[in-house]
Amino acid sequence: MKTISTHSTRTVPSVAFVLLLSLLALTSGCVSKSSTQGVENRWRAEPAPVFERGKSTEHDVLSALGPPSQVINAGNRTVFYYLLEAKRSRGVILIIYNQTVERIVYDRAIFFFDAQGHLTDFSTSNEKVPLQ
Amino acid sequence: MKKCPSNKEPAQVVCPKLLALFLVCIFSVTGCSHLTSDVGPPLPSAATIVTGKSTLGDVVTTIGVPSQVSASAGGFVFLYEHNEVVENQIGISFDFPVLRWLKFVYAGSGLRHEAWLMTFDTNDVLQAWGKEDWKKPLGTGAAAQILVTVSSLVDSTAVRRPASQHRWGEMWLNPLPQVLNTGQSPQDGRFGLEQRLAPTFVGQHTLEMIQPLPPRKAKKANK
Repeated sequence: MKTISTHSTRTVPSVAFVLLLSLLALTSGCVSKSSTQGVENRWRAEPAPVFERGKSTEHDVLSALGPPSQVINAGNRTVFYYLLEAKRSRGVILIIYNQTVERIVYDRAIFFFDAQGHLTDFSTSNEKVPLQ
Repeated sequence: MKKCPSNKEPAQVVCPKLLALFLVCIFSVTGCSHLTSDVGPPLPSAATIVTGKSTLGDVVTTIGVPSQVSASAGGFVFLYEHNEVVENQIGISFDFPVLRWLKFVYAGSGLRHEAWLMTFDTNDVLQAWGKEDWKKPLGTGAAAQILVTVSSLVDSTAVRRPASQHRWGEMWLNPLPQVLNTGQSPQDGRFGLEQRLAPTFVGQHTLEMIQPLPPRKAKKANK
């Protein structure tokens, strides 16, 4: 019995030590970066603001979503363009081999208004950034 | 592996010089990197839009919000873009006193570019649309770097720069030649648009007198 207990106390810490060292060695070169730029994407809020073509106005959109990234004047039409840009980067640096993957996601919403300021068309992008 | 011309048994004819070279390569190759950058959503492979029938509302509903929008003489212009940059680096280092902390890297980069351009008339009906989808080498680069450094050696800032919409309004604080040229600016959303890869010293930008910067300065300016 004594022999068995001595054996187990010697092996268990050494295995854990090796595992810990391996984990440290593997994770020492992991890189993760993220940044966002643009407006707050309130169109992804829960519950999402509701707009109706022909009924909602510029005032409704501005009060729900805030100032847009860009306002385009197209003759007697107006366009509100909302944009949130999220850049995410993940990397593994293992000296011998390194890999980084960068993804730039654009969460967008666009609203078209007629000369009277009524919403004629709108859409949000298929790419989404979670609202924080 | 190539074999040296010899009359010996097949198991014995592996050329020692080639084997030595192969082993040196294996042990000296270090700091190989694979860097990818995906900008924007990929565009659908098949478009469900019809010229003369589809409306602006149909397009934004089925395809999504365009990368850029501009007013045009007859209505609107939409630009959809997707870019993917892939850079592969191969690096070697030598086991000498100082050189062992450095790696000598060669990089090659490729770009996949997709773009759709659509024009709409005053009734919001699709007038015309065109698309392009191509792959091409973006450039090559070489450097001596500290062993743990991982950075791009090919300038891809034109593709990865922030969207122009972030600078709407702030553009009025640009240098005077650029502000005076806003009547022709494709960044504003009122006077046409341009793809990300368009150079800034030709066409409508000519009067802005923007000189092309060397890659390192351009990288700093775009940050």
